Amino acid sequence: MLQNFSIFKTIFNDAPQPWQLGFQDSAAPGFTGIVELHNTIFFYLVVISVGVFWVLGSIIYYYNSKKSPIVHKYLNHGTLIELIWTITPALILIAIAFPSFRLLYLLDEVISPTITIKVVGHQWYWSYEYSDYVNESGESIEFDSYMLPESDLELGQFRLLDVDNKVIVPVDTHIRLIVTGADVIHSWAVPSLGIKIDAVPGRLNQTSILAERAGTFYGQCSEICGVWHGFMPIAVEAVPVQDYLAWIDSN
Amino acid sequence: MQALRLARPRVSLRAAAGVRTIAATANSSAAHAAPQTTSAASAIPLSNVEAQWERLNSQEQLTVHQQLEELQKRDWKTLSVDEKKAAYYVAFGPHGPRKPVTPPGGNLKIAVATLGLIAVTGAIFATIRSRAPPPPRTINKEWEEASNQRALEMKLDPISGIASEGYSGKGFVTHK
Repeated sequence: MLQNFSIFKTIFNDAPQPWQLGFQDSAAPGFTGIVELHNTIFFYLVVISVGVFWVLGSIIYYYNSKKSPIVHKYLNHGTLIELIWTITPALILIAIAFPSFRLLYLLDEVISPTITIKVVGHQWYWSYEYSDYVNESGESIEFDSYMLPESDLELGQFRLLDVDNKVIVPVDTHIRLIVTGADVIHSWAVPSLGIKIDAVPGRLNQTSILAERAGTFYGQCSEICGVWHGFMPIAVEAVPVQDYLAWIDSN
Repeated sequence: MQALRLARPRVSLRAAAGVRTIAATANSSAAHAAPQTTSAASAIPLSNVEAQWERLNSQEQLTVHQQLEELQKRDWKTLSVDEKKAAYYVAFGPHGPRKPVTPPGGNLKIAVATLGLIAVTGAIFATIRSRAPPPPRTINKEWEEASNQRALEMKLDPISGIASEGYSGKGFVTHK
């Protein structure tokens, strides 16, 4: 069945599942870093929530008119408690800021890419261009990627996610993406690769991906771009280098 | 108790201020129509003031105020029940700025109207739903199981998702 819609014998796949709450599995170091930062911040979130709700709960429980009719009604200043509730959030913010900035600058870095792929958002499809490879007549690899309409889907395919032409990339290779928009602002987003980058007309945005395992990774346009914004999905297929070279040859 | 004790002087101040304003406006007009004022003053009984309060004009209301002010200068124990009631009503009763915003029966009207609008919304929703096209052909158990099969063959989400070791979820199957 697989051979029907893939030129390769096996592909790996990451797509959202019904009622999914967590992240899709990471396929790139960038996304691993994002998940790690999420977990770090979640630790602080739990500590803060427990503290705040404990204080709130104790006040509700102990300071009611029946249990404690005398409250500190005229207490309007306490230096110690003010110091505590000013300095503690500042320390927490610093503790969050350091890993956050570290990750931000790491994600920003484009590390000596081997391949450059141009991504152009259109109303309402994506087009891709591999400008590194030019044939005798000076043409590079270019194709459009449209969502498969419901009538064309084969049993088991993902409605609103599968496309006619996937972006083929080799695994374990630094790839530069240059993203722009042809008409309005779109956003090229693939959760498993940790990418969400705006495609702005008249502007070239740059990012890099490094797929760490073979597979197909699905994403969607993430900037409202018109009536069919929800119908221009993204499918990136990471394949072993030799399969990638075979695909380049066949194109 | 403490709150009441604190609140009391403020209320009496406000009431006094109110009386003073009315008195100030009325004094100038009273100069023009002195005979009428006296006749009105003698005509207003203090019993059951709350029933007729709304019908009194501002001149007459001022007269009642002044009457009551005079009465309250005496020992309060000497006031009759009607006079006490009148004094309370004029100072704190539901008139002027203390008039309830919602008229009697207003809340019921709002509740009925809200329920009515919700019913209309429900009817519109049901109508639209009844005319909607059938769900996509991918939303059925057969397709979802095929999606699961495909996901397993393709090792979808191999670390923590459907193709991971020991996965016990339903994957793409949402139909029973």
